[in-house]
Amino acid sequence: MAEPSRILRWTALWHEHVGNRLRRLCLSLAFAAAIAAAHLAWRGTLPARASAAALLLFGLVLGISLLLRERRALSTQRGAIRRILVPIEPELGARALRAEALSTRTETDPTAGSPELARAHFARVLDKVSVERVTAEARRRGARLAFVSLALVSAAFVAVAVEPMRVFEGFDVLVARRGVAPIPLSWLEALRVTVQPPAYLRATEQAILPWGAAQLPESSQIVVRGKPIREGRRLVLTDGKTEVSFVDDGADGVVARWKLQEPATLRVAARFGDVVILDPEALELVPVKDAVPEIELEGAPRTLSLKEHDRIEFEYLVMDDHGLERVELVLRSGAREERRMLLKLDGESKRERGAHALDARDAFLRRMFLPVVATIEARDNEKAKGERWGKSQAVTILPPAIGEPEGLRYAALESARDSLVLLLDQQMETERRKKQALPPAERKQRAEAEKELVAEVLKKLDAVTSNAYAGARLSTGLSTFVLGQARALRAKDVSRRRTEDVLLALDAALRGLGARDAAEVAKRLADAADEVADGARLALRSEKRSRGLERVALALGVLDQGSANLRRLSALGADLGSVAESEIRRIRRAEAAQSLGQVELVARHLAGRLRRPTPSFGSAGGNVESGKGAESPGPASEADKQFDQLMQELEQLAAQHAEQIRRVERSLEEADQAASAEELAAEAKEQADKLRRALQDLPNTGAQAGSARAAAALAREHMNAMAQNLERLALEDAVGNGSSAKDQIHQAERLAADPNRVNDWLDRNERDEIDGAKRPLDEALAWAEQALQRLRDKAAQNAARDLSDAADREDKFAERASNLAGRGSHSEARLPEDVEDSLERAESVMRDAARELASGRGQAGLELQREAQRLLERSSSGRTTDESEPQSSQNQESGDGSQGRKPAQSGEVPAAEQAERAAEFRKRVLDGLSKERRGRLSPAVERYAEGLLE
Amino acid sequence: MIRTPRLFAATLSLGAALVALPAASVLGAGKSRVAEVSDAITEIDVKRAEALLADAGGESRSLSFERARLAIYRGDCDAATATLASPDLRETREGADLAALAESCARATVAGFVLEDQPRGIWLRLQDDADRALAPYVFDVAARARDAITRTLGVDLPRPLRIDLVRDQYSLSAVSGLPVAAAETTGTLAVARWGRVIMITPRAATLGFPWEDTLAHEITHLIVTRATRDYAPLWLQEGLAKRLESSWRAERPFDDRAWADTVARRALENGRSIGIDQLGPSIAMLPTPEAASIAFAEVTSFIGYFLRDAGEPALRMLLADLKGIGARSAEPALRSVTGRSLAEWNAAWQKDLAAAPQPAPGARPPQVPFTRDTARRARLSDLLLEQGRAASAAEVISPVLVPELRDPSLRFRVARAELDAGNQSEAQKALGTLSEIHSVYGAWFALHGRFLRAQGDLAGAEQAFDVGIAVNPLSEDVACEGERAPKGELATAKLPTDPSRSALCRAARDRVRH
Repeated sequence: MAEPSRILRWTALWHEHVGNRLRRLCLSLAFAAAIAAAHLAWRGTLPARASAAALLLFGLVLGISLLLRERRALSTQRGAIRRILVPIEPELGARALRAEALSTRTETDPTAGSPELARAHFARVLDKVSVERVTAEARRRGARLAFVSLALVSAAFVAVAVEPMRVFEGFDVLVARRGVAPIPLSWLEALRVTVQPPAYLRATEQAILPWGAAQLPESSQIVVRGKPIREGRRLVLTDGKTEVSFVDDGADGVVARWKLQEPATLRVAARFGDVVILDPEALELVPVKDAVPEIELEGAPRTLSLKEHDRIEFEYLVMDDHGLERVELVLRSGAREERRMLLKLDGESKRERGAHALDARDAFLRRMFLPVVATIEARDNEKAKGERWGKSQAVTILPPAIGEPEGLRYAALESARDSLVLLLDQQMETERRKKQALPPAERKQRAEAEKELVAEVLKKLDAVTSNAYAGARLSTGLSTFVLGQARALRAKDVSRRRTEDVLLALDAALRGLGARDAAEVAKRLADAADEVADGARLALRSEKRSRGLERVALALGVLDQGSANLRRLSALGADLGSVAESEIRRIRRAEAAQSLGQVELVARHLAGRLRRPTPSFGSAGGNVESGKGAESPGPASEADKQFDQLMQELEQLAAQHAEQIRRVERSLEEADQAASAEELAAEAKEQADKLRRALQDLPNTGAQAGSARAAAALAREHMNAMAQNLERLALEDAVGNGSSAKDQIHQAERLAADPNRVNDWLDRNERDEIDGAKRPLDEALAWAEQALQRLRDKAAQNAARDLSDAADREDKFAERASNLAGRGSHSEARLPEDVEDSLERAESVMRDAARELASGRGQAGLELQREAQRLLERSSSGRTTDESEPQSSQNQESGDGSQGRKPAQSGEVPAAEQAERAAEFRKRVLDGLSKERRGRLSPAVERYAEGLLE
Repeated sequence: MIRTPRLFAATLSLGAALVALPAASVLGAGKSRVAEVSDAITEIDVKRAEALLADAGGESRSLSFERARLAIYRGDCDAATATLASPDLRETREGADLAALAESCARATVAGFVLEDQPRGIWLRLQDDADRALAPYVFDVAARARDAITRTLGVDLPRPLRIDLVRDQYSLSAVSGLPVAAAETTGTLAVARWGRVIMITPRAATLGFPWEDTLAHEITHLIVTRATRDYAPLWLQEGLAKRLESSWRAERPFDDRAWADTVARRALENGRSIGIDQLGPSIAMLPTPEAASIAFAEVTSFIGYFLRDAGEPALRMLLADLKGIGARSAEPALRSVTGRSLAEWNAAWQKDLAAAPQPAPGARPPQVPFTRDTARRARLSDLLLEQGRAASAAEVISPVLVPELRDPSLRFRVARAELDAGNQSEAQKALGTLSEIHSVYGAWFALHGRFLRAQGDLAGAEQAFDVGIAVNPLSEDVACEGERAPKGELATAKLPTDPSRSALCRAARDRVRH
């Protein structure tokens, strides 16, 4: 056995000099590996992080394995010899190893030799080893290890010192899970967050706190600015799903923009490859969606029948969270829709109240046969997501059956006609009885009965001209015609002949009305037939079958009712109604056979037929493919045609007379211009200068009202105005000013002379100045009046020939008016009394106008012409064939066969709740009318205003 | 080198024949089958056309076209529309035109009411089922007219004879293809097209029209078309139709056989002649009703002259020749049969017309024109009568009764008013007799029939009723044999005993009820 003590001694020495240093080296190695790993992991990519982790692990493992190897090596004799002796003295070391091996073998194997000898050999070998040499080697080895250790630690420290946070960040990134590092870090200082709302909100940018929570308008732009705390980091703004990079803002900072569409928790972060390190502070944002406008419609939802209303009022309140742009009235019926703008706004207003009235005679309502759903809809100013409309609850309007209003109106007029038939019969019966000597009592009774019948007829005629039948009224022209006929019955004793005339006239008008209405109703019924066809076509598609069948059933019901109403409208209506009913039966046969294709075909045929509302068979004379048929006797009365002819001539007269007025106006204007006051300019200037000099000493305004001084001051003002008008050669105005100035001077003198008005005295000087001003004023006024008259005379001379021609024409117009009035009172086409009066007055005024014009008094003649024109226009009521209702501006379709002038377009009359505004408007009109008027449009304005006030 | 040239030539010929014959048969058979079908359809031989199409085998555009055409001839426009829906057919001009016709026809005819008189071989489709009451009359007239005219012309007409009774001119246009504007301008009542008669129902015309003669007129067209395979010129078609439209029945009052010569001569004299060779594609498309009337008169007069001069056998030969020659012009056939050209015939006819003596006065006495006063009285009387004021109605209208008054409508008005007022004898006096009127007015004849029956002249009454029905069957006065239902008593009013006439009367009163 060797001396264990030597080996132990070597081991102790080795531990002392190498062991500690080796441990330090291992620690340094681990430290350096960690720092290197952090730097590598900082890149953030998966390979980098994996490499960093591997490096760290390697360092740790290496260090530990070195230590373990050293310990293991020194734990056995052999190991110690190899570790310590062999590197120093290789030969001796080998011999020691062999000796140790022998010693060990002899311990276990007696045949190997003597253990004692082996041990002694081993000891002798060991004795040859120099302890000093071992110590020196251990020291040298230790020093080397210490150096390496120092180098590693130094390098690591340098790496940390240059960018200490990089190491921290690297570690943070290294241990990241799911792309997010566990330890948040701050990235920006001087952080500022501002919000820019969407442009349509027209709001300014505002700042918000960079942390916490906020509710902001949807689509707002969030702008985050700051200064990076550490350079070289790729900063982003993120909500965890999406990222927006920060970019240089050009002012040593960075900025990022975020569009807020959904709720988000925003944070600043730094991205390292696949990993982000978040900022500890977060900003929770919730977008506030732009709501569609809300509309409150008074009384909705409700259903009403159009028959029972002349107008339908819509009172609404529209509200929006940001701003309103447009408010519309939307009418829907079946597949049809019409939109009408009520308000167009600038997007600022968030609340609007309004009202709209829909006339029962509105063209859209009249055309519809299915229920009309009316809503008020509004759009706000948000456009990014397309048009979004808020909608009110609905008002459902049930239109009358097609043809019902026309049928009611026709029946009313027919009833009046039938009453006339009874009256005629009564009169004829009386005549027959008279031939047989009628007893007085019976005669009286019959007379009473006749009067009652006349009264009944007149009552019916009055009613039919003033009533509306589910919105349908007689046209103005036809009403005038009927009233004219009624007038004939108001005579004291209505003769049989007169009754016949009136009866036949009304009969002709009734048949004409019936035929026109039948044509119009037929066309509307065609729309219902189309609806049947469309419904059948839709039902052919299996997925829409029930909806299609529903449309067919609804429209067939409308057709049934409509055709029944059509049949009542004169012979044409009876014909077309009969055709419609026959085709409806054919449709129903096809329906019963479940052949929707045939339903569609028949419905289309019916629609085509109704759109051509001519008689089923019409021929003026000979029939082709056969001989001639029977002739009819021709029209029994042409009163309606005569009336229309009368009205046409009246319209022509009014138009030509208006042209005549324009010619006279032009003549006078040209004459005025020709009779220019250019040559008077110098004199006028002179007069003006005199006036100015004279008024200088008059007092200025400011004195007590009602005093002499105040009157004098007013005189000064008027004189000043007069001077200006003289210079402008506005002689008429100058005369007016002069008269006013004179009046004020007179006032001043009177007030000053009143002994009771102590304060109104003027001192002698001022009275002298007043006296001084009077003379120039009088002279100027006289001059202006004379000059004005000279000018007028000259103008009249210039215009004399034109005025003379105009007078002749005016006389001819008067004759024509007289002729029309005469025809209107004596022919079958009677005019109502007021119309006849207007015509007669127009004639009289025209004659006066002619006289004035002939005398050269152009202005006076012109005024009378204008009055005559007003009377002519008042008399003209339109023809019996005119449309019954005015068209709205949105629906300008003119029906087939519509002749005669179109009535004026309807305007929107302020509804009741706008009465205050309407009253104010009327007041302004009246105020305006009361003022002095100028200009060529004044007469038209006057006529219009008078019409308003009537 | 060919050793046996003769053998070679024979072989070559045989080979050529063997190739040519089948090719010829293939080419020739296909083409001729379409033509055969087309001819059968044109000749209104529907059954033969159906059989040929069934045998045709295969399909071609031409055959499909003929199939569609046949469907139209059968009156099945819906089926024709389906066949013509093929883009192949619609690409061609005639296919597109036929498709348009089929579609408009289908719209006007589907779900119509079809009635058949199988024993007499008449097929009647009603657009308005309210015309059912007319069906027995239509069957009767159609059968009698067809039978008589086929005998006259020596041509048969395959059964059934198809008639479409439509509601108005719009439907007439839709079913026939005649432009509606043309129909309205000339007052067209009926056309014969597509192997059918298409006629407006008498209910469409307020005052009626002589529908029986119109129906016979159109049937004549169909027969002539069949006889000539539609190669007859227009003057021959219209001349024969006009001449034969009343030949199937007994003579009736105011059947003026000389009217055609009178009107034609007058037109020649005052320069308003149309010319038998200037008729255009159809008289229905002439610019005015007056032109149409003159045209009818001229062709009728011409045919009358032809028959007088050449005789009926020549006419039949002419029809056969036109079919045989198959030319668009009648000149070859005319020359072949008569030895003269159309121009020569025309000249001869005009000469004959000019030389003929003036018609005896009194055939159609001069008419007193309607005055304004007459119109007034007529309307007042109507209004009073509507309100049941018969006495006053009679008083108002009776002054129009002057000895020269020959207008039956006015006489009827007076008579009606007197009758409603309870003055039977005055009514009869006012109505007058046949010699006191100048034309047919349905209601006059109905009232006349009523009076005749009251006097015991049943045969005369029936004749009078028939005349009325022949022009205005759905007038209450006519259909109800001169009896009007009192106001408010339509449901319980007296009806004729004859079932057909009773149905007609009910239908007429339904019209009034509305």
